Amino acid sequence: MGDAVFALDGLAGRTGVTFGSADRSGTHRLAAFEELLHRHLRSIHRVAYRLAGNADDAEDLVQEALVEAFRAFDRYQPGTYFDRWVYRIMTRTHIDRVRRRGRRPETSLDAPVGPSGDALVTLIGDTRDDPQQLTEVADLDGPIQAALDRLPEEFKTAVVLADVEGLSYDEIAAAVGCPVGTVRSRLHRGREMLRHALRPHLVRRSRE
Amino acid sequence: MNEHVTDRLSAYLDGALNAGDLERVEAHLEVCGSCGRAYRELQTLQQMLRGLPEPAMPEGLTERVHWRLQRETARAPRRGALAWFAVRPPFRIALACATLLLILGLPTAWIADRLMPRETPLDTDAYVREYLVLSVDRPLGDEAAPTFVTSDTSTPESPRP
Repeated sequence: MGDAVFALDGLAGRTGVTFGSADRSGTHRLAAFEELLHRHLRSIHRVAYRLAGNADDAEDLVQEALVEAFRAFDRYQPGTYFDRWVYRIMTRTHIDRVRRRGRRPETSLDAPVGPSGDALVTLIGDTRDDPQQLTEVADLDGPIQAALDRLPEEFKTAVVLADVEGLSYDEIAAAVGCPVGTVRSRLHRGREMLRHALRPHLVRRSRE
Repeated sequence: MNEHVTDRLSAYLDGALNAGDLERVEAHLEVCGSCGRAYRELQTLQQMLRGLPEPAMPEGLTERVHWRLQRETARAPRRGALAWFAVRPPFRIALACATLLLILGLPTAWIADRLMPRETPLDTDAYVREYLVLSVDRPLGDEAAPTFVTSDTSTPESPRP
């Protein structure tokens, strides 16, 4: 059904998107956007998942970022990387969401609830402050994601875009809107923090 | 040579060092066990990050995104003609200036008109009467006229053929 949704107006399957300003409205605009999205949604969701740290927040982030991207679609340059362009919007959206959450603590719907109805765990991620948590998670994805979630957002974004998505320094600089030297510094500091947080796993993995 | 190169290892991993730093880091890694260990850990970390499993796409995500975008499309025309101005900063600035001028300019002009002392209207009739009295004994074509005509015709800018 997903494919059917994107196959609007016979646009799906084209290799390039060429549309005039007159077409950039209504159904044609939506179809052109969704044609690009069809090809890049998986990588967009992957980045969102690694930034947000869980499936629910990742979906919220994807939706919010895509609505923002759709509103700004007139500024997208056809022929350039659509996913990189969405990353730029999504990283900003993510940081805004984190800041909003910082001002107004959110309660996880899945959190255990006490006898009085209060959530026992009120802040998403606050159980991860215990380093012991990192070694107790059986799945390797768990500790890595937990360590990523504990990084400052700017460092996490740089690491995810470089090491999960394989973007170059220049591409990351363009995506997050900072100089290349800042990307280099953020990557260094983010990786160092991850290296220390995940050292037991890294040592064990190196011996294998 | 003995100075640790930990702060260069991340860029070294990405092949992003300049020639001088590259040479220094490689020479140091051959002799420093601590930095060599740190570098191997960074390599392993990068492999682990690259090998992270693909997160499962939530079922129905495509449809939910489509629904939200469609709702956004339907909502867009309701923003009306003002959206045309909103996306073009020069028009927005011009519109703001015109509005400001209208709001501030009209009352200012009205107040100024009320408060400023008005000039006495020119009494044309009195002026003409006085002129006639004074020029009774002086004909209209006075002695300056022939002089002016003569000198005018002899100006170099308008030579006679």
